[in-house]
Amino acid sequence: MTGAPPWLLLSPCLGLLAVFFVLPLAWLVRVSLYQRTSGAGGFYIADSFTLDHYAAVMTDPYFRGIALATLRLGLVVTATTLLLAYPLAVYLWRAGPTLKRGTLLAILLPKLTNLLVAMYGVLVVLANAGPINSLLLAGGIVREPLAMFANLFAVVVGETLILVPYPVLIIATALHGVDPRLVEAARGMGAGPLRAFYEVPFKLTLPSVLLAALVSLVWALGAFAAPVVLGNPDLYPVAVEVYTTTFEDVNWPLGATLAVLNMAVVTLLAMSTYVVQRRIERSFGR
Amino acid sequence: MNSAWDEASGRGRLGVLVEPWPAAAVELRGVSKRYGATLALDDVSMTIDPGELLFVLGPSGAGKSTLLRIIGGYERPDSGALFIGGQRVDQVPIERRNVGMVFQSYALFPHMTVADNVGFGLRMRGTREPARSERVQWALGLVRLDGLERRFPRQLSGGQQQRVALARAIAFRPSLLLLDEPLASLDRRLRDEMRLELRQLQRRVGITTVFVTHDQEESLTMADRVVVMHGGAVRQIATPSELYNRPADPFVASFIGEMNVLAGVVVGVEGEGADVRMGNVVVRVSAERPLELGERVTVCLRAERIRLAPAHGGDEAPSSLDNHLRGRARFSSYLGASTLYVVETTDGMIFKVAEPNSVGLARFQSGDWIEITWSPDAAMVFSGPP
Repeated sequence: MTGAPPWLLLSPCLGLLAVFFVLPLAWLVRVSLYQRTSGAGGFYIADSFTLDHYAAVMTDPYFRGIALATLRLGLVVTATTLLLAYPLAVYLWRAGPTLKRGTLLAILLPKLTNLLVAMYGVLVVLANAGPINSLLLAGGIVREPLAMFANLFAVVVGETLILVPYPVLIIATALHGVDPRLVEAARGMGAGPLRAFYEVPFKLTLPSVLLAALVSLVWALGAFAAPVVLGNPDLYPVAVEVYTTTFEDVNWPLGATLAVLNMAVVTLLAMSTYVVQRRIERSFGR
Repeated sequence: MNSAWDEASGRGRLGVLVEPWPAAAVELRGVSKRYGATLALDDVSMTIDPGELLFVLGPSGAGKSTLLRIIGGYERPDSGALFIGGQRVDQVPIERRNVGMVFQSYALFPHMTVADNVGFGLRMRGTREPARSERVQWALGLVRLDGLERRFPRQLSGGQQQRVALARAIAFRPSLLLLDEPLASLDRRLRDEMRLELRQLQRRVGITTVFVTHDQEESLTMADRVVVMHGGAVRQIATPSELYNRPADPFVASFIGEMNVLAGVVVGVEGEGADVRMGNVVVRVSAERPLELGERVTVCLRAERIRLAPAHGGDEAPSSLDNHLRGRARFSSYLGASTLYVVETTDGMIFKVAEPNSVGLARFQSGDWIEITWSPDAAMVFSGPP
């Protein structure tokens, strides 16, 4: 193992990325700069160059609405995901080895189901004739079925279900790096259980919480299946718009423009997260 | 001594009034603790005097750390009672016990500066600035770490981290200080230096201190009293010299210093002395209490209480009541100030013998014939087999 030059270990993965990610990405950027064909025949005018699509996206209130819908969904999903993930991560940190393994399995198993199948599963549960509404109706708690799908609630439920394992794993890993003696030391010096947790493990894992938030947000900003299956057109984020623009309106350049801008936002987010993370860590003297 | 505390005026260098330390007495009554099938503490009772430096000594697994953790509140005893400063505390949560602790790993907060680490206990108690900073300065002065307030633990050496842990444990004026093998991870020179410093600091501050160690030398040189533990039980509580000269049982005897532990049977009783047969040899011992004929005993003989002489040719009659045996040096290890020999007698018994090197050289080589001699009152006799 140690005899192999480092680049040899890196190259298969790097090659895969170059061919199937970097090349298409470059192509995507190029497509976004073509002019659209006015009539039938072809998806764009070859050898043309225009910034019209970028200008359109930036100025059209329609796209501003989509951007806001995307951002709102992203933030709500990120907040929900973190609120669910943090206690679970703390539980994993405190649990004994058997419970820990069992819980980890329970967290990871749903990831083995097909995404669409999972989303339709959520739909079935939330539907008017679904188990929740049936119970509420039978119990006389509601007179009419609660509207629990085709709205933001349903999309957030579905998207959270998809995302929650990632922040759990990120935060739990960080917590595992915290020496339990530190909590004991804090307790011994007069901190109650909650205060001790806040002062030591919570503060020490803040950079990882930030990373977990970023991962959730990036995923949520690219949400597709949950909004389509569980939402309504008013809630469709940019990923759905990219799809409809490209394949239903057959407007490749505009679709590509939306995709490029989405990527740019995500890249910017990742970079600013890194900066904030470094700042927190530096305040720890690292 | 670069002290932050002026003994005469009772004032710190910064003018902080240092009230007499609220040194507390500690009492344990029948404290037991079980982990699954293991009895970690077995009915432990003891009292610790205010201001005392008590050492808890024992091999690993003896229950030393469990004892310390129960006193500090890090574990709850299964049964028994614990009193600190006259108040029963065994059910009081850890954060309300006001006990300072230095962990073996120091457990410094990596995300806090030295000042924040040391001031943590004060902050938890609601001590505001500038009183907090003054107290932090006082504690850092005590451990001679002034000027490193803004460093982070990872920027400090092991010895400095150790001092921060100590300053942190006393800054909030605990009524009791607990130290869990605090010097174990320091190199030998630093350890010796820290021992002396810790002892001076403890005396100066006057805080009741419990110090856990498995290093018998450490406990003998520093302690007011030493608790020797084995298998979760207290074997003896005594001053270092008592422990050395009057051990309670063969375990304590052999745990302190180099000891020859020999099994024998009493074959003759005469006044204050007795004859004990060990294998083919009969030796004379003097016992504090009357021994009975046929009683099985354990004879403990310190390596440094045996004298060595070159073996002469012929069989000489013993010149006194001393015990004489002949043997050959099988092994010798040169320790600088002394040499430790392993001597095998003609009867096949093995003795460890320590001899000071008067001219800085070992007197005998492996294979040399040697005569070993000890007086009857050099040996300690305990009932029962070892």
